[in-house]
Amino acid sequence: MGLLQRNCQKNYRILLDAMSRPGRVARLTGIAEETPFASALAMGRCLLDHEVSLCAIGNDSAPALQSALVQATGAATGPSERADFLFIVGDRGNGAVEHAKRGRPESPEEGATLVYCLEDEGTKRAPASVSQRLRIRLSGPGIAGTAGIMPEMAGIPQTEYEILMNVNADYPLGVDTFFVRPDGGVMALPRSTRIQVR
Amino acid sequence: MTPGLPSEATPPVADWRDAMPSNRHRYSYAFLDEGAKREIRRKMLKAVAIPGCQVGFGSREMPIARGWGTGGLQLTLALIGPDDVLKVIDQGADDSVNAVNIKKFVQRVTDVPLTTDTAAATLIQTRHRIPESPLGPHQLLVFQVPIPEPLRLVEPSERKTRRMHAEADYSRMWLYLYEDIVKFNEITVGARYPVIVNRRYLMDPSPIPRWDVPKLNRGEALFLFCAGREKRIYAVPPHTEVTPLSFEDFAFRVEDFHGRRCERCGAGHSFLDEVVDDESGRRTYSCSDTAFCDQRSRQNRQGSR
Repeated sequence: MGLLQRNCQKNYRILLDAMSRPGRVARLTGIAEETPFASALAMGRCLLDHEVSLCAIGNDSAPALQSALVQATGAATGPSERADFLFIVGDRGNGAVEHAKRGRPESPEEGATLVYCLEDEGTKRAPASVSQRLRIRLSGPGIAGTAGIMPEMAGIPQTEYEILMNVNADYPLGVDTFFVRPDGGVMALPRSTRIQVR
Repeated sequence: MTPGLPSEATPPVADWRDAMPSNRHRYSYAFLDEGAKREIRRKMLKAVAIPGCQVGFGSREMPIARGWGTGGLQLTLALIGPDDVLKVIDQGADDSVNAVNIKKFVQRVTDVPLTTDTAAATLIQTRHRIPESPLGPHQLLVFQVPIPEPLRLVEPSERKTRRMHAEADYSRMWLYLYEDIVKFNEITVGARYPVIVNRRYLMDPSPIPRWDVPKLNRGEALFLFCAGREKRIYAVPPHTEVTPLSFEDFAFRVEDFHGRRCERCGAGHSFLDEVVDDESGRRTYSCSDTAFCDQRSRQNRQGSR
């Protein structure tokens, strides 16, 4: 088994674990922090190929990420409203999330997968964001008990939670979201997770 | 280098068989090509994100026939890595033909260690049973599914069943159960008892006995289901509400083993198989989960020493 294959298998199990335990942070392996977008590329290598399309949006470095992903995986590119995988550089979707694919009632799985590639600033702002995270409550499949939990990952603006809450309001239609950090930290919010903002 | 002459780096081999790659190296790691694995992996993530929803996938040809666990096998192969410890069971038994063939094959293409101990396994592939010992948060249970569509009982058209799922219109399934009660004063569905997952999707839990259905509800492990012939993947994440269909005045109940015990280990709280002695006609019972039974038998022996 080659190193690339090995990392893909390991990272897939980590992504699957994150998806089945929403709001918890797992850590991808084989991430060299000095490379920009190493976490996003590791996810891309694990999930993307020519059968799916992707779109990267966000700040000025989005085109660089998009071409790196295409080069590494051979995935097609498409507009954000038709892409299977939507990579968002930074912590704000800037209107693209609302228009991402949500699937059809007969095939809700056609809804897009969102990947927020967060930057390190979030962790530096940590003290402020704890009080902010306290206002968010997650519950549903994968989360023990009925009281709900606070998301473990810091630095995600409250407005993004509100947008995801609205986009996934018509369950089972909706989008499934990963948040990744440069150090490999990854947290998932599948559409089945109920988000409450107090 | 002259063709046909061995280079200095590769000394000539005495026997051509030594030069052949081993079984393990003749195929990709875990048999499936990386493209197939990626597709199955993507579909599995979607299945986990929408609990109970059937997600279509391109089921590959496997070296066993469709209907013999190719679905479960494809999930196992897409998931497995060198850190895993694999257990395969068939109707609860570690040593029946289907289970032995599958685990031998997986080991041949991955070199992962095998176990019969439920607690030691990280990945368990199963046909028609959930192990008796509770599963932990870092275990995956992969089910082999013959018929993934619970509504197939009442509707033959796939297009119509898809629409029924989209509209969460399960009235015909309720009617089917109601008619059963009217005719037989009992719901006659034994294995494959229909369940509602996360208060939304009607799901076929694969032909597990009713005994195992409550174990799906708010479990610690991730349950993954795959039908190779029907090309469908679905999942129940941990801590997910799974409720069997039942009426207020006609509650769901599991198989009744009241007053019966396993002949071998004495267990009175496990799913029992009936064994009839051909000559004497005597009926005895034994645990369907052989690993559970072995463990109890060992404990009994140690206790009596």
